[in-house]
Amino acid sequence: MFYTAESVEQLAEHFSQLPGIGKKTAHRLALFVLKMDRPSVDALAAALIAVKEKVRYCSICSNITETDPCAICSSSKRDRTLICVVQEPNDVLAVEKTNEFRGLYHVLGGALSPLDGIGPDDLRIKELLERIGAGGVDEVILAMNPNVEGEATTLYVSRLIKPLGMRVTRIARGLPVGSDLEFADEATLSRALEGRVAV
Amino acid sequence: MQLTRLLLRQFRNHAETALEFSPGLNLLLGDNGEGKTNILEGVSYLCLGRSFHGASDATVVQMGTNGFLVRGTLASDGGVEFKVESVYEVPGGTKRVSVGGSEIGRRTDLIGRFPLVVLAPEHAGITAGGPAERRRFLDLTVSQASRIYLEDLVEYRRALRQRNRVLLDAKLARRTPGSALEPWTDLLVRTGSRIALRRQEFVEEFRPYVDRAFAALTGTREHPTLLYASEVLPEASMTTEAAGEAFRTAIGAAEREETRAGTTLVGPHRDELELSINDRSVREFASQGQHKTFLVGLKLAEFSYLKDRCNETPLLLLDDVFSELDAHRCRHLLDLVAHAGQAFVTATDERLVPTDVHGGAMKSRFTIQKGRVEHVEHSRT
Repeated sequence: MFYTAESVEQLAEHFSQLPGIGKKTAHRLALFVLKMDRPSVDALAAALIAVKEKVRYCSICSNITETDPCAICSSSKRDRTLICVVQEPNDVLAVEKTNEFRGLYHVLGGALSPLDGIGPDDLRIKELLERIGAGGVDEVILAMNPNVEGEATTLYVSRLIKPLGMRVTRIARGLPVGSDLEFADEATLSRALEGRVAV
Repeated sequence: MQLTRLLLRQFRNHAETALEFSPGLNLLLGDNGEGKTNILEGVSYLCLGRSFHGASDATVVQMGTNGFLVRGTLASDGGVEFKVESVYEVPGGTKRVSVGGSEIGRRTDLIGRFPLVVLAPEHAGITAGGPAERRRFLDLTVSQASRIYLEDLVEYRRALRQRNRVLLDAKLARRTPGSALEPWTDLLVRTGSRIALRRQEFVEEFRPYVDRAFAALTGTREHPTLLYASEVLPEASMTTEAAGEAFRTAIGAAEREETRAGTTLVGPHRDELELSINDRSVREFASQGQHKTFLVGLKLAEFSYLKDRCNETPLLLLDDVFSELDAHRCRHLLDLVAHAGQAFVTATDERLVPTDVHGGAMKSRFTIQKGRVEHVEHSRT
């Protein structure tokens, strides 16, 4: 039984399948769409279809892109001897925002997690090894999430790359910038001590 | 540490119960099933973020309601007050814990801030049950004293579940797990060797506390020993690296057997804390009385140990222990914590509790009936 129009209910149902959207918000969004003018709704619908039709995975780094190879892989300004390995396309965005990294990326598409049915064959690890095997890479930076699954992925990938002879590094874990040492919890501080560097 | 106020809302059989506690002994009286233990469980939500029974949040919600709230005011030994709140909502199954109004991201961030020692009937398993009960005792005590240990433990358990899955998948597919097992073994070895070493270190630190508690309980008649036995630590005083090597060797040797079993067979999750009195295993040879003495001794030692380690007097919860213990042990138990601590004690019959101890401190008596506090009495002995 519908208290509003059936198509509003249907739209709300679709919205509620999105991450972070509950039933109430889904209804608000659906009613908002109803109030939007026709060209804006057309544009929204077209944008939804476009991401499915135009976006694909870069054949080199597996990041999402509309042109293959992607803008980063085909740029002449990037340092091609350096590859930063991340879990998801979002992580590429995060690292890019720093404006500090001028190398290339490799998106694995997740982290190892047997409990979720994700094993080495489900990640783009083979593709990474092929890229490195083709030569010209001096350093591979592993930038996984600082949790158990990210850590296992770091260990697994580094075991495979190390025999190939290049430098394998990982991003540091530890204290956030702008915080005081005395306020850091012991666990974070002990990780930071573990990953200490020579000055 | 002192708990001054507690509010339970839609918690077990308490629709709305507000209590003000005394700094000394707080006696909760009532027949079985009236809701005495539920009050202790509420206290455990403030200190550990969950029930000390290990009951799930959903089962603690009062029947027919949509969630619970536990709120308490805790004062540190130094006199600083903290309002701690734990709110659980059935739709979505989310629990929010906050201290002083700011939300805590993970439950583990709460553990150790407000130390707690619990003695309940199910703890009889520590001396009489299997090794898992003794590891649980070890883990909860050390976790409250060390954040690093707790983090390692969380990581170890997660890595163990992942590794077991790889082994199980391999078993079901009738193949060897191959290189998919390696990163999980690496993680297990890294955190597992640290856990085993920390437990061993704890047992060393803990021994004098147990000796002191036993001397107070039994005089010089009975001499307790605690020994941490781990496959990861084949020798005494090993370095983290050596322990890691030993763990790796042992787990490497077990791989075929592990694949057959479909689960991890080596590691600190299989270790044992051996307890004995006068060099005889408690589990095999102790009398009923010795079991009780040992358990009370361990809990008293835990109380003093946490007090020293956390620089804060733990709260003590004693759930229905006086029907099990004789008057002599009861008196010691209360006497030993009386000097410094606040205790919450449930009993069906007040005559079982020697209330004349607790020199000078305020004590309170609550009568609980059908999830309501029917009678309160504050007095000074």
